[in-house]
Amino acid sequence: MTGRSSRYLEWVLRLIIGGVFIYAGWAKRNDGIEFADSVASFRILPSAVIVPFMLSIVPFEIGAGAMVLTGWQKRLGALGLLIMASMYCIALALALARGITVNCGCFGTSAVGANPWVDLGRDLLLAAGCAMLYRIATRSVAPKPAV
Amino acid sequence: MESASLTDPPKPAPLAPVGGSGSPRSGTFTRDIVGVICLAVASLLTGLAINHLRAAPLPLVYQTPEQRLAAELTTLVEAPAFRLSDADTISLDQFRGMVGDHQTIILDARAAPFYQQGHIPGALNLSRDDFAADYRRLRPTLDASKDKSIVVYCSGGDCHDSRMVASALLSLGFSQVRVFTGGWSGWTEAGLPIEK
Repeated sequence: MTGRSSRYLEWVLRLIIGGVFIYAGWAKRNDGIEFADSVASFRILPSAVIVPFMLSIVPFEIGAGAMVLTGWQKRLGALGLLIMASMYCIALALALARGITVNCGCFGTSAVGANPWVDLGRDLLLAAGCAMLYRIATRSVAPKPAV
Repeated sequence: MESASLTDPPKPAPLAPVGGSGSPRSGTFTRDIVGVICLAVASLLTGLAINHLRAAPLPLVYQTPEQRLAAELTTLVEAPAFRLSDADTISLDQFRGMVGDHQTIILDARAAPFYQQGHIPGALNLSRDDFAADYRRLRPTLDASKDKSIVVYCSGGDCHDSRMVASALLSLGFSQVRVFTGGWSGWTEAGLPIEK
């Protein structure tokens, strides 16, 4: 891939991924106990961890999304979102494998009626995009080989 | 000590490590992981601070909907202990005949925003989320109609709220409480009229 096309790809990925995660965080900002119910429905986390975990998701998504979008610490933001998207994928795959009905709550709990397979597909795409963005961002800071 | 002779072939220059644990890329990754951990801790602290500043902060230890409903019930006067019980269920055909017959009280157990977006005609909102407050508001109507039958519904499908609200009403002394299991989705998918 040429330098120019790599830069364009990075811009597109930053706009999409940053935008999606900022929107997802913003959509959940007013979800209180309903979002905790969504997290609990996955039956993965113990009760003591559910509320602190869900309280940290909104600032994390908005913060990391803003890093990716603005380009300030974009590598860090991309890695954070990659970890988060991978975590969502694993949780959704486990729920589907165990036959548990879950409401992902990814874009707020009022976004009802979503299909978990669609959610999983979307999260896989996001994870792949984050991985690609992290790779591009890492390459752009890699030291040049000595001559 | 080993010394290089002039006749020895020149040794190749050591290659820069590419992906090993000591490579620059691996160092970058480790730094990034530490950065992500710091971001996660900062997000947790921000989330806790925002929760603390809310008008009604969430308790830090999660309570299931059943536990929350039980806690709500204890705030009602002389409310007995909550126990999830099996209320009778009715089908869509049975329920259709009851809507608008003025002999049945229909209760929507979904949260208020969903009720406001649309509900079954004549339904009152007794949400599982805010049971005690809604019950106090509806108490005059409910107490005046103790002889009437009550049907509770929620979203439908796997929704559990109608059963919990029906159980709460049974424990509060209402006897003719039934659950329309088809719920809101069953009603709307059948193309039946709604009210906003």
